[in-house]
Amino acid sequence: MITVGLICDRVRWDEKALIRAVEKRGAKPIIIDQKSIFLDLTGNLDNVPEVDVYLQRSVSTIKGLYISKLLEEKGHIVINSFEASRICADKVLTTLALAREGIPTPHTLIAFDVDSALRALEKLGYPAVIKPTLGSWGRLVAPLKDPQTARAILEDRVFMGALYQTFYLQEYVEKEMNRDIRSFVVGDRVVAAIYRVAAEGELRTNTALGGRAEPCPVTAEIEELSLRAAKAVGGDGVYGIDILAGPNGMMVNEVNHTVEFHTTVPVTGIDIPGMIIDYVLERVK
Amino acid sequence: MARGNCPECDAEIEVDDPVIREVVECPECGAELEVVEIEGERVKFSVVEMKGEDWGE
Repeated sequence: MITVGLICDRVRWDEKALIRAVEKRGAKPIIIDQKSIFLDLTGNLDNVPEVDVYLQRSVSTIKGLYISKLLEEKGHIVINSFEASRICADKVLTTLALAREGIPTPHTLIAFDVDSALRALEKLGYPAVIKPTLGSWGRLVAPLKDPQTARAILEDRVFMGALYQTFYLQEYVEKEMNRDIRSFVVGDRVVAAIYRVAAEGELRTNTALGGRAEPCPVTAEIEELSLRAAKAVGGDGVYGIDILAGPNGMMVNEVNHTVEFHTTVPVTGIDIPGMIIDYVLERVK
Repeated sequence: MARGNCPECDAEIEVDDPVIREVVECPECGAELEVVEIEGERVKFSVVEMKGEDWGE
């Protein structure tokens, strides 16, 4: 019997659906609670249950990255790979990977000091958007409307600690119908897509912030762009691709490596957890 | 179906086929809870810790 280790810190609807999908396919799910293990960097991993394949589902990005790296180092298969996850987790590395492959993505600059950030913003033009380099669910993504408010927000970030002192500054892309697209890549297929419609008065479309999901057809353009973006960050895995459809066509905004689907499954009727587990089991063969 | 009480407001909460570390929301007070113990039809919850700055997908 194939064993699948789900590395979790919380078992949400998503993880529960994955566990049931593993069981349904006659394989055995083993939940590895991130909080209950310790890892011997210089020794062996006899404290971590040994399974045929590990699926990384940690909500805590940094802890998840360390666990994936260690498991790979000891010769195990982890989905997604450490390298791809590292690129997705860091918005600077994601933008670089997308730009390297010539994938359309918003114009982005980084700066490490308030005054140089303001000079970068002059080049980028207002309004712009500031994002933490690490983080999700739209957290601390803020519009910068003019130099005065930009300075105030930048100064606040300085006081928030080292993590927020790399200023990731991006052109503001006017979204058609105040929505963007999230597509789901599993292996070499785009299995589903949704529109994420921002809540009233909100710039961010994240469903965690009240954004609404609606079914979106996987057009040839969405499919091509999604597969190229997945490949750019490392390929062969499970990804959530954020696509902006603006006045100049489609652009890839972000790539997520521990993708959530609890909103998409009921809206599209597509069994994303089942497809993920089919792919995971295929990787063991 | 298993049952347990919310550690915040004591409301009785039902969980279908619970899993350790499963996250549920208390229907009465809205607290975010985690299943920490399952004993037959009884589950024990604890309040979920605050969100970390590196949390996400």
